[in-house]
Amino acid sequence: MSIEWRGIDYMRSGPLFGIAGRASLRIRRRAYEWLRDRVGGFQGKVVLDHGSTPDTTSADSNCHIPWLMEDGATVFSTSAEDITHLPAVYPGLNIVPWPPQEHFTQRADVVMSSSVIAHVGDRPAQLQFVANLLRLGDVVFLTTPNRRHWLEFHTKIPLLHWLSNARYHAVLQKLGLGFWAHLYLLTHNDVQSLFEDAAAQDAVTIETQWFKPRFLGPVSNLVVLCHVERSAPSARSRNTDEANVFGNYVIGEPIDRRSAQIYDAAIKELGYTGGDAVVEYALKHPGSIGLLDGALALTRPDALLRRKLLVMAAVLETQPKYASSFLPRTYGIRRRIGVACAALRGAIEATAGLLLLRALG
Amino acid sequence: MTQFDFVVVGSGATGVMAAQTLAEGGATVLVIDGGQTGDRYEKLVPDADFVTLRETDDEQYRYFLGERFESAAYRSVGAGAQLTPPRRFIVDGVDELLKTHAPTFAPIESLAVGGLASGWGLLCGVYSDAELSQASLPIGDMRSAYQTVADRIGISGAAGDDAQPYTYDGLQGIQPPVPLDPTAAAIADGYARRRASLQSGGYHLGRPALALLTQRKDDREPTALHDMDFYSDAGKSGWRPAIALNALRRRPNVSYVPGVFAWRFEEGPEGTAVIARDLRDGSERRFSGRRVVLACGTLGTARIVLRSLQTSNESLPMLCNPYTYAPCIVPSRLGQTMPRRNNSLVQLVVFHDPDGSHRDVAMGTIFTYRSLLLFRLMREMPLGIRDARTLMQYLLSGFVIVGIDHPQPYSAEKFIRLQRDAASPTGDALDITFSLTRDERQANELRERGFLRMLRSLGALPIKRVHPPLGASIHYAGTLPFSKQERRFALDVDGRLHGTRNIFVADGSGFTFLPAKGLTLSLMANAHRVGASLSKTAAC
Repeated sequence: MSIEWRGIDYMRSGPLFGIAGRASLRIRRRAYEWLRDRVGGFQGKVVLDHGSTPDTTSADSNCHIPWLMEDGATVFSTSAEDITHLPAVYPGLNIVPWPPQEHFTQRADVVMSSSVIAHVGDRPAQLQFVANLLRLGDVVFLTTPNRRHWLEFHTKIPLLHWLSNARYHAVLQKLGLGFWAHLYLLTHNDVQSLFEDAAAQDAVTIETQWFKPRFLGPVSNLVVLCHVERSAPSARSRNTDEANVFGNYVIGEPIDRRSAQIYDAAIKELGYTGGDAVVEYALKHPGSIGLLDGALALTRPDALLRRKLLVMAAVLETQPKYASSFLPRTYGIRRRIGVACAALRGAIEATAGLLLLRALG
Repeated sequence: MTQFDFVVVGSGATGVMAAQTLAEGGATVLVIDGGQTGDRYEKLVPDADFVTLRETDDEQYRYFLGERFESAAYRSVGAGAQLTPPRRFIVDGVDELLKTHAPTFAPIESLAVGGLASGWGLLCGVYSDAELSQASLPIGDMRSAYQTVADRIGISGAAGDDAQPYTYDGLQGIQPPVPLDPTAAAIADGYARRRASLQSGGYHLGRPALALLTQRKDDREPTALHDMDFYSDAGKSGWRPAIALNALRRRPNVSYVPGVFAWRFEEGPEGTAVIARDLRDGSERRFSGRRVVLACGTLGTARIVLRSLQTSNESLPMLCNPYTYAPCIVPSRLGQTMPRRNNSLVQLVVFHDPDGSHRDVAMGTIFTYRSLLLFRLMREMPLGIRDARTLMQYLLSGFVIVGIDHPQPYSAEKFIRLQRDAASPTGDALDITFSLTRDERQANELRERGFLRMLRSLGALPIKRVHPPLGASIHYAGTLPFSKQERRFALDVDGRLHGTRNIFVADGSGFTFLPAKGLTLSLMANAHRVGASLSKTAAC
């Protein structure tokens, strides 16, 4: 499948741009530094910037290219748009003709794609886009605006983007903003599933790490770092699949491969392998886990599902990556409200779960 | 065959204390024990503080959860809940060798080097004169024995607070206390504000006396406050029997044989012998001595005595402190960080002495909670795991656990028997019958309600009371009571088993009453006292 992009106009004019532009630059810098820490610096590394913008007028356009060069990386840029003028702006930058999978003959140490994926089209196009990224290197860094944020940063219109994509695009057309009717914004789970499905296409295994900067309240950008392992993946055990589902439930985000492996070992060691009707239902319908878990906490706290979830919690608690989700910390008003909401949700879910448990026999 | 002056059976707190006293008196001493050790985990746990380990150590799950993930298994609250994977060696082999039938009781025994005291919470308490009398322990000898033991093990504590008369009253050379956790400090502040009224109600709160160094002593370091007390003995700041045992092994007149399971004793005209089984190959081994000192813990000693005297269906009385705990929330401390430098041991103790007579004293122990991990608390919450995590993470900085120990006199409802059991490798099993009388239950209930009221007045709000199985206090005593009259299955004041010439008991088997205070210091003092008496006799 070929990918065609619409040109990107970032609404450089307008009263909001000054604030938004500065905030955008700050967030991009923080994400860049987060990435740099995780890959051990860029000195001597080959970085492919997949989807560089032709724009050279704004400070945040292609801002990572000079940062990479300053940090000692050899940078290649590629784009569906014409970016042949960029080496004049960034001396030393190498241009790779489009599509890069045909012209980029070496492997990149890091493949970067910054704020591109929301513009490449619907999910099949996005999946193809991610699959291409994974084929270009073993470390992929991708950023995109968070669909869950109340403000849409391209149109500067709040909440409207929470409509379904079809309705959202129709409304934008009616508002005379048809230019943006190609936007397919993504949530955390959307991005994670794109990576997982793309990895499955090529039978590679991946591990993702996340950075989630906030702006005007919620998480504004989804920043993901994906490590690709190309060795023939062993058959993923049922326990690993369980770990991914249960880990996501316990911690609220997809878990890393190491935690899943430790969970697998623990489940085998403790003899908790397999599943009863409740576990099977929970795996098929991950959205029901909160209901079932809450109800079982009241009625059968030692049920198999609870045992497995508890093992998952114990494994995650003893991983440095998730320590901050378990250690005491300072709570402001917002977090305190979050705790109250969690308790309330727990009570409501437990009540609903009792009915579901009864239905499951 | 080598014959020692003394064969000491057991290397726990009482065994090493008696052996040290005997060895210092010039006798030749053989110490034997089951030999289980925690070496495997010792090498796994890095010498760093809890938070640093949590944030950086990829291998932490091995010691926090166990190499066989045993801590992650679903388990209802019972005895030994505080035994973390690095401490599980304490009970290794017990289920196989020490068979017990105890439907209403959850005993914990040990075949480990250092015995149960390898997991001791380090809380020290000196019995009052009234309590010593009730326990049939000689007051004068015990007072000097307490001081000897305190000098040997090193104790820290606060001077002059309201708890001191119940913790280390009369002892010299006490080191300064460890810093107080902010949550415990909030409770202590609450006590300071209501001190007069609480004291009039019989409550006395203060800092505990702990066998934990805050200053260097010999080759032992002051506590680094790593909050890893349930996992590691780094720096040897907390006293463990293994410290004393290692020092004893350097003495020329002390020998040590690990890995043997003492079965019974024999007494003949030429001396005594302990018959044991080698745990590696199952062979029988015989250790001869002029005298045998049993220090296997109350239950272990009772097994050996009953087996050796070949009695059928003989009942022995038993004591065990009933124990209840109450998770509490200190609202003023919710949603805050906790200090990186801390300890996991008792932060505060509160004694209830209704009439000030020191006779019927109950003890509350206040712990802050962190190093035993959040998932254990999540398991106990009536909420889904996800929401329990969110809630408990918020509550943790204001979360304390208050344990309540009750004093325990004898009653007819508490006894043990050694029964035949063909399925047991020893051919027998200890049958424990243990229940509280109606009066005891009522008295305990009243005490506990009083403690909870007192806690509320200090700003610590109890969430619930948890009654773990009887036996969970791991304070056992009284199976072979001290008796001035020569009668079977009793000890004379020096620990000699009536009906024998050279069999002595140095553990808590002789106590005729079990005060609610921490037991271990008094066990060690009694063991030293028995050892000192034997040394004198031997010298004569």
